[in-house]
Formats: sequence, structure tokens, C-alpha cells
Amino acid sequence: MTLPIAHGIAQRADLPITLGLFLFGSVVVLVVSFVALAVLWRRPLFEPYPWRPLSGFLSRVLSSRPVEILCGATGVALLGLVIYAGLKGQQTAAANFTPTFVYVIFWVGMVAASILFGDVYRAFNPWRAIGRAVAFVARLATRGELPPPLAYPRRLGYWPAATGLVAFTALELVNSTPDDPSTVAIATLVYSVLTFIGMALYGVDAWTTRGEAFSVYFNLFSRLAIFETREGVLGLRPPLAGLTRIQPGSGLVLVVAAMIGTVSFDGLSETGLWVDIGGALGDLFGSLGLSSETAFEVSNAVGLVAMVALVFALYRLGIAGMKILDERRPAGQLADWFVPSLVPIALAYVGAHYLTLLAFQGQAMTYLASDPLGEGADLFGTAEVGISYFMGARLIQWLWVALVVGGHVAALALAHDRALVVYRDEQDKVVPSQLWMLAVMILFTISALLLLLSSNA
Amino acid sequence: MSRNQRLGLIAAAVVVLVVAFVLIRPGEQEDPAPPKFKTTQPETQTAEAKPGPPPVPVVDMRDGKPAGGAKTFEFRPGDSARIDVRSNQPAEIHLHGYDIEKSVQPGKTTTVRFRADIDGIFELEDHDSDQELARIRVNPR
Repeated sequence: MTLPIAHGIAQRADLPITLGLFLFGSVVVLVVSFVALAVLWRRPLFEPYPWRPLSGFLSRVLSSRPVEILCGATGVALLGLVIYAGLKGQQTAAANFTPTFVYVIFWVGMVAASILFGDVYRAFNPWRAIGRAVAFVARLATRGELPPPLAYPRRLGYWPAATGLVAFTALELVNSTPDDPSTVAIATLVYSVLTFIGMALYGVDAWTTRGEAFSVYFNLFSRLAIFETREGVLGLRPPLAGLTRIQPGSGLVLVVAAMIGTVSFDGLSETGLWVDIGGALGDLFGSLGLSSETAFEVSNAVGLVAMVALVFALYRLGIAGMKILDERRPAGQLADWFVPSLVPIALAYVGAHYLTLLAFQGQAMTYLASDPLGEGADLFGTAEVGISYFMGARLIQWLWVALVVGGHVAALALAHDRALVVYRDEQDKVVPSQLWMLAVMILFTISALLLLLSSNA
Repeated sequence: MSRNQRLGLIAAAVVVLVVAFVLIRPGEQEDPAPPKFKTTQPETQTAEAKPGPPPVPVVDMRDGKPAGGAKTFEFRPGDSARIDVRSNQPAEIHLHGYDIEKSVQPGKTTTVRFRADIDGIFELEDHDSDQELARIRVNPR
């Protein structure tokens, strides 16, 4: 049996890397890890990190009210178009604006934008913009007597965001018709309603920072960027450093596990291994009386949740190793403190898996923008522009390996730096405490290469 | 660890990586399995072997579905590729990536021709039902 190509919207699926490239990438990862242990620094580089304000003019323009309103309005307009085109447009995945915009431009493109420019999603977040506009009007209408929102419960933490991320990836990877425009539009509507409820209960800012899945997701990636705004002033920081200032909270580990685990499942589902396991699971659920479509979806759901759980368990194994040396600090606290160091590995997974989707399928926006409903319009005269496959598979594969190795190095550096801070009074624990974590990271990184080797093989 | 030891270690690591690169040769394509379909077969054009026409991949559509399931056809980069499509009912077919659309009429063979110059994996679909008919795989140069 051949595997279905993951997306109906993607015109081209990637070729696997060669065995040689897999082996060489693995050797690089091992050698780099070994050398890193020997040449590690003694004083934290990232905590505290320097921040230097950029020119005042640029800051004033970027944080001015008109720019803020313009960005928010753009986000809201795009949200409206996603829902309208999804419901009213032609129900062919490749000809409709909605699936490509949501899965490629929003889900993957915003990751790239966050890494390059910082937390730009905050400015374009349509739900935040609507929430703030509604709050503004409500304050005017009640003459400032609007009741304050409920205090955001500590125990809720990042759980809503983690749940939201798994739900979104389930829409993409579990569902048997992920690219169906109206399905995407309806899911967007449902998510909008839930987000507005969260904002109404706990306030726009509290819900955006912790509950809203995409805010949390893009914000984590934006912390790799060199741009950071403090009190409305745009400034520069060292790359990666922003990850050290993540507010820990319950569910944060799950968010990061979901970031890595869901992409792992996407990769796994393109391998022969999953054809066998998923097929067996499908037969099992089919024999329980489910229709073949439902059995397919249930077995995908099992696979998705299992991969997230596996990543979570492996990370906690690394923490358990740390606990051998550290009797004082609770494991949960250690887990929260060290989890930001996995974000570069998550980027390596996302980058390697979705690089070509963004680079090639992202170009589909040129014609979809001119004809968002797929009804033959040509608003900007670009309806006939095609996709240019400007990178060959060789270049792509070297980029993947570079991303995976780079993510691994960044993760090592962050974990070591964090250990220097946590064990500042117990210098002898700094390196030994990280050995298990190093092993776990090597496992994640080589698994990433293994998925690249066996996808579509 | 002294500064010199560190430098020595880094130098040793670089040597290991260079040796690994030379031994593994990651830049080279593995000896690819000979493509199942290609238009020229110079090795077979010897005096004793009659240069028979190379096999042309065929997709047989029965009621909008590929008979025997969707097969994968492999091409070498730069090949002048062709695929023959037959069907027992009219259909519109679409080869993704290369963006070729053709009509298929019952009782006639429709040939999809293209130069295999984009590497990757591409679907040949029934345009109306999005049913996958075959998969085209073009290896990198």
C-alpha cells in the first residue's frame, strides 16, 4: 500500500534523506555533544542577558496606536476571510484560500516570522485585537464600571494552550479530511468562541499569555529572536536568550512536548512503520464495529497522543536523572525550569518537517490571494502564477540536517546555562546533572534525523 | 581543562568530522535502484540485445479508481517521462507539481509527457474526486 501524501494542499512531497546523510548528521550530533561537555563555560551567558534599545523613532512608529490598530485590523480581516472563504468558497482544498492560509502561512509561516522578528503574532492576533476593541467599547459604555476579570487560576497554567495545540494538530493529522475548507472554517469558528469565553472570564491579556494556544506557541518560538519589546520600546537581545525569561507554569512541559510530539507523529505517519502499526490499529478498531474512516481517525488519534506522551515521558526521564543528584528541588519545578531549552529542538522538528511546505506551497498564496474562493476571480492579476520549485532535494536535505544539528547545539547551550543558574551554589552538580538531559536530547535529535530518513522511503 | 587542551579537543573533533565526511560521503546519492521507467537504456543497446522499447508505465482506471491500487513510478532527473492512462469512463487527470491536466476518454490511451526536472514525490490524481491514481517519484540529481 502507498501512503497518502499528508496534505491535499501540498503539490509535492519530500524525498527521504540518504543513509549517508543520516549517519553523518548523527556523527556530527555526537561529536558536538561530546566537545560541548568539555568546553562548557563557567558563568551564565544568558541570565541576565543584555538588552539594548533600538532607535527611538522606529520604536515610536512600531508601537504607535495607528500601527497597532492596522496590524490588529489586518489579523481580523484575515480571520474573517478564512471563515468566509472556507464556508462560501469552492470546496476543493487546493483552490480555496482557507486550508493553505491556515496550515501553511499561519501555522508554519508565523513560526518563521516569530524567529526572525520576535513576537509579531501578538500584534496580528485577531482574537486579542477583537477582545481589546470590545473591552474598550465596554469600558466606554459602562463609564469605567466594567467588573474586573476573574483572577487566572494558577492551576490552569498553560493547560488550555497545550490542549488547544493538540486539538489543532488533531484537526490536521487525525481527521481524515483535514483540508476540507468548510471543516477548517468551522474549527476556526469554534476556536474563536472558546477564545472569547476565555478572554471574557480572565481578561484579554491573561488569556492571551497562557490560554490562547497560538499565542503561547508563537511566543515560545519568538524567544529565539533578537528583538524584544520592553515597555513599548523595541530593543535587541542575544539570540536564544529570551527563552530564559519564560514564566514557568503548570502545563508548560506539556506545551513543549506537544510541539515536538505532534510533528514527530506527522513524520512517523509517512513511514512504513506507521503503515503497519496504524493499519493494525485500524483493523482492531474496525473489528470493534467502527467504520473504516472512524477507525482510521481513532488510530491516528492514538498515534498522536502516544507520540506526545512519549516525548513527555522521555523529558521527564531526563529530569529523573537530574533528581539523582538533586534531592532538594521537586522534579516538577526542575521540569519547568529546564523545558525552555527544548524549544530549539522543537524548532528543528518543525523546520525540517515543514520547510518545503512553506517554501513551495506558501507560494500558492500568490494565486489564492487573487482568487480566494476558487471561483475564477483575479483580484490582483496573479491568479495564473505557478509555484517555482527553486530548491532541489539535495539543498533541502542539507538545510534539514543543519537545522537539526543547530537546534541540538542551541538546546545544549541553554540547558547548560540554566544549570549554571540553578546550581550556582553547587558548582559540582552543573555538568553531572545535565548528562541524562544530554542523552535525552541526543535521542530527540537522532530521532528527528531518523524520521527524515524513513519518511516516504 | 586548560586552554590548550580545549583547543586540542576541538581540533580532534574537527578531524573526526572530516574523516567521517570522507568515509560516509553524505553528499553522494546512494547507488539508486535502477529506475523502473526510463526512456533511454544505453546499456541494453548492444548488438545482441534487440533495443526493445522501454516499458511505459500504465495507469488503468476502473470506475475512477486505479486498477491494482496507486503505484509509484520512479524517474531519473532529466528523463523525458511518459505515463499512459486508460479508463473505462471519462475523467480529468492532474499531475501535481508539474501541473499537467489531461482529459481521458474511454477506449483511448492518454499520454502524459513531461521532463522530469523537479525532484520530489508528486501525485497523479483524478481531478474531480481527488482520487490518487499513481505517484511519480523523481530522484535528485
